[in-house]
Amino acid sequence: MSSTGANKRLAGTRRALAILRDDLALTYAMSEAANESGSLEEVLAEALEMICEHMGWAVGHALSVDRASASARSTEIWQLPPLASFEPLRAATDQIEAFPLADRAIREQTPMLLHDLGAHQFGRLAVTSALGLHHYYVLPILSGDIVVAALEFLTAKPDPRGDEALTQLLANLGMLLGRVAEREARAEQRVALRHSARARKEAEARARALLRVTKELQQRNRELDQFTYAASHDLRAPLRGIANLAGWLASDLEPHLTDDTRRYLDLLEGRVKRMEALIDGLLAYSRLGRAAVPDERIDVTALVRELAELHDVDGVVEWRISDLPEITGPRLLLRQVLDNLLSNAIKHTTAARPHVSVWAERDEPAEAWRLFVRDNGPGIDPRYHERIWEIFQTLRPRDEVESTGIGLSLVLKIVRQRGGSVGLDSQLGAGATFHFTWPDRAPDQAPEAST
Amino acid sequence: MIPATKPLNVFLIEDDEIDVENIRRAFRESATPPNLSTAKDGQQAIEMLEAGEVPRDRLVILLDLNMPRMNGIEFLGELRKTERFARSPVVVLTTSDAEQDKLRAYQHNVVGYILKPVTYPSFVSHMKTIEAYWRLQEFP
Repeated sequence: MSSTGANKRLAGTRRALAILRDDLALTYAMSEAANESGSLEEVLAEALEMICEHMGWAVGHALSVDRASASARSTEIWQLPPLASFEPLRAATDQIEAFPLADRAIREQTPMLLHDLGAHQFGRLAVTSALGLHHYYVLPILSGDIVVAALEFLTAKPDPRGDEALTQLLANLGMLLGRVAEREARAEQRVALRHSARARKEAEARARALLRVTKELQQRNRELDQFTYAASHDLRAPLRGIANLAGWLASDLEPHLTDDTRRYLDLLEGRVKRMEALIDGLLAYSRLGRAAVPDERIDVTALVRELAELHDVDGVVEWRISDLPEITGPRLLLRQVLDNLLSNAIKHTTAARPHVSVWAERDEPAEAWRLFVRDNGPGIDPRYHERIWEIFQTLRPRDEVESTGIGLSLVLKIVRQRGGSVGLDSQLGAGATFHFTWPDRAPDQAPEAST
Repeated sequence: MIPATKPLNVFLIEDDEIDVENIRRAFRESATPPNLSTAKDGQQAIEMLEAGEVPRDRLVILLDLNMPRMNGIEFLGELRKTERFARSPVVVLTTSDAEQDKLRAYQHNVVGYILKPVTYPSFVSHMKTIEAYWRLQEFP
């Protein structure tokens, strides 16, 4: 063994060691870069720059992987010398449809090396030859066992490491970079999990709070209704006594009554009847909240005609009832609403020939009907439009028009329970139009429940 | 031959004066007005029965349920324990529509349960039934 041979070998070993040291440095730098919390795109751009600089390669370009076809696609991430002469490469790359060698690297999950491009059918040969780039390397970036991206490089000279060492180095770099993708995926997953867990907790807390408030409200309403029911029930007994006594006085004293005392007894009887009507109204009002009534299909035209006959026995009123729809809801409740509105329309009239019109309009977005009842009565001053819906409110002395002031509040309660709204258009002296919406479904009904 | 009707003996146990008056007036309009005795609660009623102030013959007891001191149901319990009145017909007059009250009343063998306000026709029909019952008892 000659000393020159030994020296040569020694020099070769030194070179190889130097390369290995540099490669280790690169690998280390790369893993540092990979551990920094950049996005995959940022890390790929940095990796291209580091690799090209370390290896002395002219061009680096990142490729993304189309999951469905497991084939490479061009990206905007490049490492190019800042020279106009390299621009055609970018343009040519954008034009080609496939990256066969990159596809193979992706399929086989291993780096691919292609030397002497002129001897092969390389897609961008015209441009690469012009730039003097004759060698092509592509490395897949592996996240677990999935290739998430690939890097392609073009260089003028073959790499001094030899194919085997280069392949090994590139494979290592690919795996290092793959960790970024893994970390990114895990982080996304964690963030998504954290977000969904927090969102779920918040939603649950909100739902619980809402449920508590709803339950409390329902409980209060029930208590109020029960109180009203009990109170009005207990008011009946003494009232019945008063009614009995008044009746007995009237019959027993009949021979001795004067005009005045007879009028007093009549007034007494009238007040008792009013009180009974109030109690009945209160009972009806409180009963509304006490029982759920099932929906049915209601022929509103027939219902309105029936009520019209009831309220206008003598046929004095001119009724204009346009074709009304079939409506879904608890019949008794809708009847109560219309009953009160029709009775109001007639009760307060001053016209010699009262007119009452009833018609309906469809509110498609709200999935509801709007029903209108118009009269040609004295009208209501707009400043009272709010107050009339409150319980026990009347606008005229009760001795002139017998009215409990419960009717409209009953209408309001029923319509609100249905999820609808009430309204009034009126001016003093110009009649009044009461209207209300009646949704196809009650608020607590699921959409399927209606079919 | 219909036997000549002797008047019924009605014992009304009721704390509401107006309800008492109501019954009194209803009887006044009847062709054969019954002899009416009254008590204001179960306690007073038991005392009157024990003192012999109420005749046993042709007796019908009209009983309110909701009363002070001794209520209607308690009175029924006491009444059925006595020897002389254990089988006397009792009609309950009450505002209570509660199933429980009706059940407990019928467990004490009441013959009728009338809801207040007492309407004249229902009251008369109950009285007629009881009158017929007594007539059967007297039939030789």
